[in-house]
Amino acid sequence: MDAFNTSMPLPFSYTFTITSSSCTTSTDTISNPWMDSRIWSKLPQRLLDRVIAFLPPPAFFRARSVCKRWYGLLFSSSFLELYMQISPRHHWFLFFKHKALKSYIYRNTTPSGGNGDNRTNFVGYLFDPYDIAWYRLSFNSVPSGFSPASSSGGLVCWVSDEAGTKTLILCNPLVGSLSQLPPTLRPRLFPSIGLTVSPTSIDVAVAGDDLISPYAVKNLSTESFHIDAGGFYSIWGSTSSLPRLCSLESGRMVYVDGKFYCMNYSPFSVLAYDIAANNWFKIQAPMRRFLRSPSLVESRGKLNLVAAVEKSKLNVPKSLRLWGLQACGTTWVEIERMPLQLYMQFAEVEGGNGFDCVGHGEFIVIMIRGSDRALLFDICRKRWQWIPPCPYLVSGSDNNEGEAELHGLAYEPRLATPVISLLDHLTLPFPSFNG
Amino acid sequence: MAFTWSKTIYMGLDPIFLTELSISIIIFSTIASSKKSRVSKIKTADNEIFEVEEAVATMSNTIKIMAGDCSGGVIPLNNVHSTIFARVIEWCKKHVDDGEDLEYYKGALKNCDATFFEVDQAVLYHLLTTANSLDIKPLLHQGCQRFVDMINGKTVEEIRQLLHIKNDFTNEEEDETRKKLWSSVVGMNSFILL
Repeated sequence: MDAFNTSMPLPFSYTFTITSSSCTTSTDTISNPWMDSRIWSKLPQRLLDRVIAFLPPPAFFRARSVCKRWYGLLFSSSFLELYMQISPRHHWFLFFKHKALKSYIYRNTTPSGGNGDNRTNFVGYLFDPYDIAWYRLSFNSVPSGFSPASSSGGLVCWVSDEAGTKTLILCNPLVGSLSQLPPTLRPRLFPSIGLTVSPTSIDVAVAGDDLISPYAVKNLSTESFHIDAGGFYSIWGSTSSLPRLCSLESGRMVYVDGKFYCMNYSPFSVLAYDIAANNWFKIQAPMRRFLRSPSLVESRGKLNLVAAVEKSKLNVPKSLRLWGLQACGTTWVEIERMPLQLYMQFAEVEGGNGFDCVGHGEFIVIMIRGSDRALLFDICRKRWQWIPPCPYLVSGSDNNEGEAELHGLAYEPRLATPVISLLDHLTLPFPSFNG
Repeated sequence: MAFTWSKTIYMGLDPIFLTELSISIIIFSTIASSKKSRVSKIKTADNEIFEVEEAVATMSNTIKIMAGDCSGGVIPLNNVHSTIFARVIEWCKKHVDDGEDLEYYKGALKNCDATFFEVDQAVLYHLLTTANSLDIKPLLHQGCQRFVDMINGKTVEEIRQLLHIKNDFTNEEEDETRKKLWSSVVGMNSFILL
């Protein structure tokens, strides 16, 4: 493949930031020490490649302009193999501006007049919690009529907005690849989508009310999709019923250790779907009568529940707490509580609107509904901090609609997601082995 | 209770069998304990010999393979100097029980291993290349992270100068690339700047 391939659209937008070059703060000498080129120019090639594989995606994409060889590494299978082996996991976040989804139910024909909804250029805002930096990602290849639903293993899942059988698209925004899943079998309205991607398998679960009849009580069912490198696949073959009297309210599902979890409302509980066993079960939520805005997040391989606690009758101060689900799968233990002073500040900003949380690895992001303010919590270092507002929305060209509410996904940027090639085989009616 | 149990056993067993059994136990435990403290002998390029516990030495896949070939003899490392090797072994001793999870080592770099890499650039270079040639993945992982932290903040041109890489883009191609790649935002920590 041509090392210098200008025809491949690069994912990130370039903004002229004149003052970026004047970023010479005191941290510069620490982060930019003088290095002796007589020593470092002797680094063996393979070791250099390893260092490049270590770079987080923004640095990687910039390093590509060093020379043609570095530019071409993204297409080199030996480099990508090394990358897949050693690249550290980056627990980042991807935010999107909230689209009023409900308007899509009542739109019965092709959108003719709507200008804001006919988005061909979906934009995401990438947030790096390690260095507190924002980037802007364009999703040029995603067709209109889709919304972001979930993310795992470097892939972002988009779901069709229209009521009916749902089409899902998996996209790796860094390389611009798109793969479509076969549509779900049952027509649905606003399902909850769960996605988990590993280097060798893809699992998707779609749960929520299906449109069996406009007059019938909501029939809550699930369909799941599985494909793996071992050759096993199930194209929406596994279906399961949710426990009675569930109200999923189209949230997203969080994957932890072989199960998808989502919040069940009124009264609060947690629904868990065991993928292998294809069945659902309920877990009681901690302090369920006193929770407000509960959300589920994955943290370092465990399931956590984040919610505000308000016990107006008892003398318990309002707080925001984090519980972890224990190994037994039924009991919760409180892990963390937001410092009281910070919570008072938080409650003031939030003003009772509620909040949503997303998280993975060591980070949890708490997004306040109706605003673009968000709080970042580092579980390992026990550090809470307000996330600086996204500069692309504050003063940039994207802030033309006025609504600044952001919805987030826990996203891990990955340069390569070879597992997506498994989906290519599904488009063939009869699998051929021409190689 | 234990006393009664042993009394019962003793009373039920043939004394000769018991003696044989205890001798076997002594022999097995000697083998087991000697296996634990089996020592590898490694000779560095400057002819210095290191005696290192096998478990520590075999954190290096290269040494592991060579030990299989040498079977008990002295393992020669022809391109590792004793000062560097001493440091590497020191690191290995600290991490012998830490397992394979590379993510763990990233965290450890920030905590207990932070000072390990605060060394001269020449020493750091040798630590990196030695970890590479000895194939000690966790050490290499940390070393690379340290190196990335050091070059973080360097412009593309600075990187080229540091690594003696020739810029083989034409002016046109370079502008094209520059237009498409992304930059960091005002006031935020930067990665490699354009």
